[in-house]
Amino acid sequence: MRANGTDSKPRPAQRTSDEREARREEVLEVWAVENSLRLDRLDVGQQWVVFAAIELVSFLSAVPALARVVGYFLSHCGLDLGTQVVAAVVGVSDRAIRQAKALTPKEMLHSVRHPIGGHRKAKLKAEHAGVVAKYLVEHPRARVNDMLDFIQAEIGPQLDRLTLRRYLKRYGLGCLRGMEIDGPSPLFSAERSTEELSS
Amino acid sequence: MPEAVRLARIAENCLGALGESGKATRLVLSLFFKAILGIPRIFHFETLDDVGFAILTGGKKVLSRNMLGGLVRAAPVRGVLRFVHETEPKIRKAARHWISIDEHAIARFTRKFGIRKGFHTIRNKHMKIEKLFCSFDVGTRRLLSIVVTRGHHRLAPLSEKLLARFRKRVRGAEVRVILDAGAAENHEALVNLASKPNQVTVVRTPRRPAYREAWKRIPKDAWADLEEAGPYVGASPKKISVAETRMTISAGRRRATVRTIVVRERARRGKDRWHALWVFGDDTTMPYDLVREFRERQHHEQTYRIMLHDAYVDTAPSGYNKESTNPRRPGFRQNALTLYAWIAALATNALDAFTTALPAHLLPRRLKLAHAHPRTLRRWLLTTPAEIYQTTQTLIVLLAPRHLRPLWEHLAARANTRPARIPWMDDRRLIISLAGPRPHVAPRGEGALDPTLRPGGVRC
Repeated sequence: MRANGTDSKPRPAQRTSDEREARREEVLEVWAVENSLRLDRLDVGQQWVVFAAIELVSFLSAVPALARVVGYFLSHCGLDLGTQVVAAVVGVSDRAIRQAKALTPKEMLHSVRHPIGGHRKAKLKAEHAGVVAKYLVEHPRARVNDMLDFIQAEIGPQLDRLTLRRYLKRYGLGCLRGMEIDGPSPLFSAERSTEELSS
Repeated sequence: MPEAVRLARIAENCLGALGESGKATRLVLSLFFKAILGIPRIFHFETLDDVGFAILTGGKKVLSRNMLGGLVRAAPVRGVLRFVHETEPKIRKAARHWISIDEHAIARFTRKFGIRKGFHTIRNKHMKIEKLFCSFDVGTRRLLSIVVTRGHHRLAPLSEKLLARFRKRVRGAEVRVILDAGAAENHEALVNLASKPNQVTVVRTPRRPAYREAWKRIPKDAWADLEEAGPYVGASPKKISVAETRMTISAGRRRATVRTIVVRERARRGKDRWHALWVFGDDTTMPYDLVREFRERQHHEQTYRIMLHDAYVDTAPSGYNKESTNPRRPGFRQNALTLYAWIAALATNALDAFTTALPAHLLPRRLKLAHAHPRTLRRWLLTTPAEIYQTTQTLIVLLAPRHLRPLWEHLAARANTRPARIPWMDDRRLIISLAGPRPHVAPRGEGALDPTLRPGGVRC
């Protein structure tokens, strides 16, 4: 309700510079502990921006799409805030921030207007597990980059190492160590019987 | 695969007496996939060495013919009957159920054993046989239950047994029973069968000269002339005449009057064909509607034909005891015959359900797979080259389909949405994967396990 052009709610009292400073330190300390981050890696300017973003996100929490927009702004604000920091501010995964960062402003606006229900569809589907397994059997010494090139050439999607790692783990096809696809080969072979694999 | 997993679970519960865990699963899965893939006989297992088939049947190697034959015969009768009871398909909830009951004769060519004889309708002779009696849901086209007997048993008393099971399951709904002329051999048994409350029984009347003479005497004004579609598109319509009358039959000491629908099919050349139906418990339904209702029984005959020629039910182990010390009276055990025939029936049901669930819009315009014969399914879908990869968590089947790629993509996506877990492989998830598209190759002859059809083979 408005009367004479002013809100009926009492406006919070203006804080002094010292009070704002104390508030920033308090909020950021709690936030850093909750998200296992080190504050000393952020300079003062970055800390102020992060503080402002945290306050804004808490205000926008009822509308997640707007919080994602804040994440998009932080990713492109030129302060070199890492995806981990931005993700901690917005409350989503690093991967989500990386994907949002890669969008053009038009695409971002479209994604805010037309959000996808549920998870984003995987680039590499369960149906492709056989092709990946066959490649691993035929190229036992293949490195991660070879695998990624093969997937792009044969199946189409361009993956990062983390996505490949997650995919191989999900279907028990191997694990990544550095740039090697490593570990005891989980694929069935003539020398290794079912019982050995089960144990 | 979910159906196979369900059968394996029930088999372990019901046939656990076969010995160490896993034998019941292997027995049931071997018989099930034998019927699905069209392996004609148990002794053909001697030459099967396909790793994929071994995995399907619950082991690293395919069971030997001796082991499989021994397990079938060793299955306890009570366990088998319980297995049949627990795997009977669910009955949909409805106010009215159409059920067909019919017999199927399995010829037994033995000179040594004096087993009972019966009439083999396909061979048109009285010979040594064993019989299967199945109930069939006309609405869903599913075989519902089975009873196996010696060759001399009749349809009417066995129908009573199958109907008693069925009535319990429909919880008071009206049952409309369709029976072939075999049930009308003994009028007393037929009247007893038909005199149940809330039941309509439609039986084909035996075609006897005396009956036909009586039907010829029906006055002309009692006949209604109708036209039906001809035998092919563009053929002249088939002319039939339908009349309703009542016939008196003797049921023991009683005499009963039965509503009779007579159909006279006008011949294009030669004599007219006569058919008649006895109808018990329904005096209101129009005669021609009853004729059409009765014709639905043909799906039951068609299912028997599929069980015979595609699931090879006639190669079932015999019910008589081949080890009997008295070949003149070898006895009869239901276990092997019941288990073999019922699993063939379950495989037929499963394949039919699979065909009706296929999306028609993903098939070529001229190809219709709904209610397709198993050998058609094998030719188009089941004989697909594949490679198998096994990890600690998953079993990945990499298929290289030669036809129907869009359909395969749909099936793979559906199977992978909620992957089936395979209990006999440490609960591994089954992942269906498709290799890159290949140029179209014309369909080749059937041969589910023909090695020439699997250029990729199984990687193991």
